[in-house]
Amino acid sequence: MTVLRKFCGQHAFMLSILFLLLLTAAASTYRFYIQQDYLVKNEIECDPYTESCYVWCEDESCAEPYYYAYATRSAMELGAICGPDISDCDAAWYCDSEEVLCDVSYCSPDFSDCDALSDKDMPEKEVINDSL
Amino acid sequence: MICHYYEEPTWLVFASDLPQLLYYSHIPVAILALLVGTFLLVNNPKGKANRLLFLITLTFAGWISINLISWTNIRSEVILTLWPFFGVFSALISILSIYLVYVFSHKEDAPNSLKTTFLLLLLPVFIFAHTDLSVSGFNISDCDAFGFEGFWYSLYYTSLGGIAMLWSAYFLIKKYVSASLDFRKQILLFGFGIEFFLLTFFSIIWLASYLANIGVVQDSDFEFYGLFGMAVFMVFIGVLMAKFKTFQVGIITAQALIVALVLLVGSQFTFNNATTSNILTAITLVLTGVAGIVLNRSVKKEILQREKLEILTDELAHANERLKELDKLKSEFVSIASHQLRSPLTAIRGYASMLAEGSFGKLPEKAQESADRIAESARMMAMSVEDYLNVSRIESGNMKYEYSDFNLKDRVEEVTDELREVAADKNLLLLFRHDLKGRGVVHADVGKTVQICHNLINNSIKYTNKGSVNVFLRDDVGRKKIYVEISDTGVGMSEKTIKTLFQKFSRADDANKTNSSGTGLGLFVANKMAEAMGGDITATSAGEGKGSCFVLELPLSL
Repeated sequence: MTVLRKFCGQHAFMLSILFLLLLTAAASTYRFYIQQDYLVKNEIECDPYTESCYVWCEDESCAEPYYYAYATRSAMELGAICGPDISDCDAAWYCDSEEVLCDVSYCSPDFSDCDALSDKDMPEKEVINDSL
Repeated sequence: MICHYYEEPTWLVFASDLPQLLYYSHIPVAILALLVGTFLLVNNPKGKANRLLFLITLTFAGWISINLISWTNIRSEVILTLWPFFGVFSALISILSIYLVYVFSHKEDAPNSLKTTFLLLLLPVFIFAHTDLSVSGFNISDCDAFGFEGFWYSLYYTSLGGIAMLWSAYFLIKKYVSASLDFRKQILLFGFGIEFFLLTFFSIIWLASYLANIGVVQDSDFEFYGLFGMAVFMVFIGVLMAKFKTFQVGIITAQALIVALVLLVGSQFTFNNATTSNILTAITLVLTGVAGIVLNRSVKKEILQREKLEILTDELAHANERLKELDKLKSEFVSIASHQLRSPLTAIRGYASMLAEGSFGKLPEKAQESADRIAESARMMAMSVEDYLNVSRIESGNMKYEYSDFNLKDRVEEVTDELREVAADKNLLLLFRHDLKGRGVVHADVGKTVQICHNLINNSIKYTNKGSVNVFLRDDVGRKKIYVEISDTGVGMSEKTIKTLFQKFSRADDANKTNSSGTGLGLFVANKMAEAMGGDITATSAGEGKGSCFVLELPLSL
């Protein structure tokens, strides 16, 4: 007992750090790994005619641009709907009205190159169909 | 959640879609740091500085591990569970660095008040690590949490790095001012190493994280460069170990450096994709390994020999100290014994002289002869006792000198006159000459000077069987010296004899043939006395049978 007390007295600083480290590891594991209590930001669909969208091009010609916005939502809720892999989950591509937290952030022209299209940008084919 | 845009890693950390520099900046540096830290700990586990340096390298390796996992893993819950440890490990590196600098510079453990301050500084980092203040979410598209890091939290733990730099510099500069030249060099090396490490680690990594957070850069690739500061620090630690034996390590230093070299060559595999490059790297690695083994053996042998030699030198110094103590004890013993002998000897001499001189009436012829022999033997014995007492006084530092100005020429002439009869008894010619340009006045102890001259001239007479003994006095006013040269046509000396002539109990190999009564202390005593008075005695000889020349040198009084 005396030996243990002496050891603790001599290494109080290091033991305190070890204790705090273990506590932090436990708290972090519980919150993020077990509870999944965090926000998750993923890409959702975006209509460039009505919204300011982020745009991604495969090459410089940008023949097939990909328009998207971001949704920030609860990982716990999204996980419950889609599971761990959201790539094939339709619900991940829009904010469901039942989701308590789902903030959509669109592209801000002040910070990024965004694409907001108008009717003039509509493909010609669609205009022909309309006249018929 | 899975970052579906990225490739699943193999072996936990390997993925092809990652920057090649990631592995080069992480794996070799972490292994190098851990190796040095472990070597230090294994070699001296009780050294406080060694333990702290090991903990710093361990924490640094921990930081690198979570960084590598964050770069390569695609599961948000894994990355986020580890993410708070960026702050925790960074803060720990800062505080442990200050602690290490304190122990290094003060050569003692930090006081409890300082340790409490360290804990108080660390506490907010631990308490808020798992809260939203630290990190609140995850970006699946970028597969990181930069956008969800708390600004104030990261600013706080990064500031600890700045505090560590300033605090360490304060400790080191404070110690540098009062340190020895050798320790100053160590402080400079250590200080530059740790400050460089802290500066690169905290400034570059914080900048990379901040720019990624605000979206200026897509990835924080250039944070890789911040890790090389540790490699530089380890090199400085290596130099400290090798040059100054800091951290009290020996042979392990060479081994650590060789391992580091092999590691650095081997790490080229992490960014070389071309087959030719990999083959060349493999060949270089093998050659380096072989050269390392050979070098290690050679260095090991040399270091072991050096360490053995150091141990022997220490033992020798210890033995020398012991010998000096014993010599002192012996001198004390001789002194006491000689004093005890002197009183009865004086009585014997007195009564023998009285008997021989007929104070108690005329003695028969045979009794007269015996009385003469008793008187002569008692005189010789008294001289021996006086020699022993002189040696004892010299060695114990109790020889007293009464300085005064006197004319050396007169004294030497007196001694020569006194001994002329002794020389005449042996049919020797004893001559005195001088060539003085000055007054020939010296500032010394008259009695001791006369004793030295008497001893030297008497010695020459004793060791000369035919021919002459010449006493020549000259001065050198420019050098403020006066010289008494006593040259003879006697038995002479070999070079070997001259080398040991002024040592205690030193006598020529065949001295007994010429003079059986000497103790071997006369020249030792004379030389010590001359030295004490700022002079010297030198002896020269053309060889055995070719005579000798003794020169007494004394400073002139001006």
